[in-house]
Amino acid sequence: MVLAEDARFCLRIRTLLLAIILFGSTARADSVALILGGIPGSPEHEEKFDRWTTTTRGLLVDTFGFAPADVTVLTNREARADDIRAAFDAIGQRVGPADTLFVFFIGHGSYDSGEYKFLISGPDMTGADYSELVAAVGAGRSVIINATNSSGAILDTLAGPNRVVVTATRSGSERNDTYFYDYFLEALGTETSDEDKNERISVWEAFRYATLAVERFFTEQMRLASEHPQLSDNGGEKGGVEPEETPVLARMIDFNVDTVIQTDDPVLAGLLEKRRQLEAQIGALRLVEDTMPAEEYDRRLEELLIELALTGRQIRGREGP
Amino acid sequence: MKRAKLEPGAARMTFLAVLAIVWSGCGALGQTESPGRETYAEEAARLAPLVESGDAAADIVEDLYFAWIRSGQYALARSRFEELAAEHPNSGAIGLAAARAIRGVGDYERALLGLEPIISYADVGVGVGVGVAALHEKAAVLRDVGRREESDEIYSDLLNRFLDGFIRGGPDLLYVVRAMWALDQFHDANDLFRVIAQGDPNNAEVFLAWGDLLAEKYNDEEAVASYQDALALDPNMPEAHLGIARLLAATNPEQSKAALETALAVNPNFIEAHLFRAERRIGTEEYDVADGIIESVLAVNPRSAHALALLATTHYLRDDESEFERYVAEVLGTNPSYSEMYFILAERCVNVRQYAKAVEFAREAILLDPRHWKAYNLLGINLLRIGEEEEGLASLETSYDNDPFNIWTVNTLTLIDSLEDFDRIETEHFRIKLHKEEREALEPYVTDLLEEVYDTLTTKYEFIPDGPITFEMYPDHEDFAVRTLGLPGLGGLGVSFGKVIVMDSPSARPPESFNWGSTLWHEFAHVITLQITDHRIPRWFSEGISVYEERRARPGWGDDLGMDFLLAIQADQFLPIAELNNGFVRPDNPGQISLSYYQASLVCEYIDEQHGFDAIRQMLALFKDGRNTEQALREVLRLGFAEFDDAFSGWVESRTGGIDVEAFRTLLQDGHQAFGDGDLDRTVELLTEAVEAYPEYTSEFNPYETLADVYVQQGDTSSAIAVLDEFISYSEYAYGTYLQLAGLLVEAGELGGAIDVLNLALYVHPLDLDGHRELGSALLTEERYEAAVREYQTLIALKTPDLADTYFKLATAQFSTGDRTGARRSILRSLEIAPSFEAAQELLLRIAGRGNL
Repeated sequence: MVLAEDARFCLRIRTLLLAIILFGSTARADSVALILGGIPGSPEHEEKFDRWTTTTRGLLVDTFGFAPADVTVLTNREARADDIRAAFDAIGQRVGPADTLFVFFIGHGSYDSGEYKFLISGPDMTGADYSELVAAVGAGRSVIINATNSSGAILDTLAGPNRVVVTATRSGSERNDTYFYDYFLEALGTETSDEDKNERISVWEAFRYATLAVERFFTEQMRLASEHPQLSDNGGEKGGVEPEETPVLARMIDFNVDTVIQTDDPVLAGLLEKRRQLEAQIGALRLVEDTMPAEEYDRRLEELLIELALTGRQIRGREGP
Repeated sequence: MKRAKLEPGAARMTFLAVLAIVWSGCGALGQTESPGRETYAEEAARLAPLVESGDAAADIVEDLYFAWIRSGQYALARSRFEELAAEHPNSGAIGLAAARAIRGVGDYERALLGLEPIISYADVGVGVGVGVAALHEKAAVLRDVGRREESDEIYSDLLNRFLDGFIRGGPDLLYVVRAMWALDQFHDANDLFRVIAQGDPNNAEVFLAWGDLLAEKYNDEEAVASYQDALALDPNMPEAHLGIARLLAATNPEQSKAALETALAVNPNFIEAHLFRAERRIGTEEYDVADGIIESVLAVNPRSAHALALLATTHYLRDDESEFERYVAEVLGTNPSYSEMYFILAERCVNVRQYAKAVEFAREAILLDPRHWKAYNLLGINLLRIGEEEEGLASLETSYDNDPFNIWTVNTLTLIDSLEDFDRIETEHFRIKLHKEEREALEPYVTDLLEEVYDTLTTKYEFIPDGPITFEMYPDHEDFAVRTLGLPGLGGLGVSFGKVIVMDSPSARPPESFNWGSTLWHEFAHVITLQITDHRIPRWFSEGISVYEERRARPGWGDDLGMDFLLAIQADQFLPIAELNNGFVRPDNPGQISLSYYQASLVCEYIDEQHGFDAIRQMLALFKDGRNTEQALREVLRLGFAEFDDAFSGWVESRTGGIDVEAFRTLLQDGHQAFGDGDLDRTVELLTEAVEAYPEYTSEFNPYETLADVYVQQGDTSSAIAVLDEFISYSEYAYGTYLQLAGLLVEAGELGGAIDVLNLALYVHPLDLDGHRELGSALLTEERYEAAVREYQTLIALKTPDLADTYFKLATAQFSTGDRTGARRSILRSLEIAPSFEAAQELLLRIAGRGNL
């Protein structure tokens, strides 16, 4: 059966809505990360890639609550093809369908004859190789951040269901050194990027912050933009900060490791559940915004938000000072 | 607007068929070889005896004619050929040469009479006789006397003879190609030139004429190459040297000058070369010098319409109406359809910024010659400059339809097409165009500043300009340049045409290199000074007042005494007031223009300080009445040039004479050394002394910023504030310093001061998020909610990443101004993004009237 484009879109939306509504009731999920540092090639790049790698690990552990053991770093000579495969295998032993895998590519990419390669010590691996490795891990959700030049060429290969793929460039032909990851790290380190004020940084928020900063950088420098960061959400079409489809998965996945709020107070538990459901309804309403008049949308949104705000007050009152 | 690619029409196909025949017969062409290697005098000496015998071939006679003419022997050529024509009445070639020589000295009627028998007797259909040349010459003379229709009939006749196969080769093809050109068949003429050049590659005349065609059709590069081809065959050819001089005048003045000198060395009486010199002098407003040059041309040809038109121009520009009219009558008496005179007048009016008059003259040119396509271009561009967009566009369309080669037309029309990307906004006094992508971010600031400068300067000058004033801001500097000149490459930041202001937008320039606010203020001051004087204000006074007004608008705006200016003053490089305009219109070096801006602004400061602002207003009134600088100074200030220069020099000396540059440099160096050594007290001592010695120095390694750093390190916020406050009173680009100072003021609890400083910062970098965030925050704290609304709306337009927080603050400000609807809309947008944003939730409840539940 071939679904019409609209029908497929609706199916995706329904699937995602279900994910949003169910997500809150799942057990605590773990997040694991693999940071791959490619060969630098020059002292300047070595300094930059080291800084990016160290900062990434520091943010994951110190800011987002990753257990140190859940962050694997392979750089330069430690990041040969065999080492990388072994690292993916090891991670695969530890994670399950409820967990989220983050993979960071920091280094140089190459794009030749239609094929992207991440440059490592020894024989390089292709996008297809990495896609297989990510799939083999078996995490419920995967986030792949590729900060290299030409990284756009790997996007289609890596994109797929339950994956968010972020690349610094739109295509393999954007070969210049990239600035994207500097701003991506800035996003992970500032609450300014926390668009929804939930004190968590989602993949979408970090991507949006960094992409706008890259655009602003090239505009202010009066230079032709040599990179156009892209994101593919749950196998959907890649795009920038104004995607055609709402990037639900990227909005949903935070860098912050999940924490479970536990309470013995049944009233408070009920309020927390009510809040969760209201948030889910607001999320669902946003997804169907285009299907109703703006005034009707605002009216329904306002009702839900007022209810949410009042519930929040009750929760705070119940929790005490 | 759609513009079709130029395609040959049916008539052109006929021509191409004939061209193919000519091409196949190229071997039969004349194979003329220009002598060239000897001087014209030597050539004339060699050829004269042959011609005097009466048996010389036509090409020998023509060579002698050119040898005399190109060495400037106009009178000799005329007298000798007239004598020879009398001696040899049956020689068409000599008769033709005599007629040409007679035409060259302006006796057009006799030239026509001389040509008639040649045309009557010559068989113009076949062979290489002079009949075709004589016909062409007659057509040219008829144009000289304004009988254009008769002239065109002859050109058409020549063309038909070519198309019918009666003219297929030899030197006559050169006359055919000129006929095509005269009838506006430029593509065909160009094609035929190519064929002729290939068939007769040693004929310098072909390359000269081809160069002229290419130059007229704006193909400068190939025109120069063609002139160089001509010079390779005849290194003396003065017309080719002049052609190069004209084409390189703007881009390579040195080479242009050399080429012109060469042309005049060969032909000291070269009429067109002298007229080119005169045009240059008119361009630099040296009308007396131009008149002298033109008189020398009139001594050769007293009826030269071009020369007389230039005289009319110089007298017009001097406001000498009676002489102007006399010369206009003289030109039209000789050539009633000489539209070029009005075209020249229009061009020169542009030069002195009299755009409305340029429009009037361009219209006159078109009235006299509805096929003057360049005049349509000039009319169109200047209509746009005075805000008449619809008619300007129509005129440019006409220009393009008939002369698609005109790069000024093409560029301007392309720009007009791109105006679809601009939003149009109207305020009380302005019609504004802002690029759609910048509109939301810039509109509130631009509209506020425009109305502020309007109110300020119309009150101060007691003058209401004709409006509404058009104001356009271009994010692409080259678009601004095209809008201004029709060509890319302009170095300026803004231009005022009197009723239209055009300038770069902030994104057209690198950050911290451009203050759009001071530029806007400067350009509006021109609106006042141009309109109040009917555009008769000299450049120096107009620019001087604009900079002077910048200084009064905001702290730090307007040129200050930078090191380059100080050194120039100390080297006595300020121009005498009598020559100050030259610093703008014919600078000796690139730096002289900016120095002249500064000097002119100081002259205005001086007049204001010593004689009162009313003196400036009185001078404006006198300029409107047609007085010049000398008259204005004498009548208002009671000072002659020399007296003014003495007084002004003394005033400047009192302001700058005490600055010891070397001592200042030493203080700077030692102060920074002490800072590097960590000796903060010594740093403060030395750099404070440096500031006192030369307070206007704000460039690299200025003492202010280091002093502020020291004070911050010492925890002395108030001193840091004081020193940075003084710094920004002299500097208008230091965005980072504005933010630093604002931060210190916030820290010190001086929110009002911080708001003032942040407002200044937005004139430098209005697209940066930090400035708007800080300003919005300070305004909210100060409960200046309406202004805060503006800042948060701008942040949203700039796609700030922290949208939820920004919408929340916007809603807060809107709610505080009583705009409950706007506040509801904004808080919903905030919570839509961040549903659990607690502060926003509370505000929503308050807006919804549920705050107390």
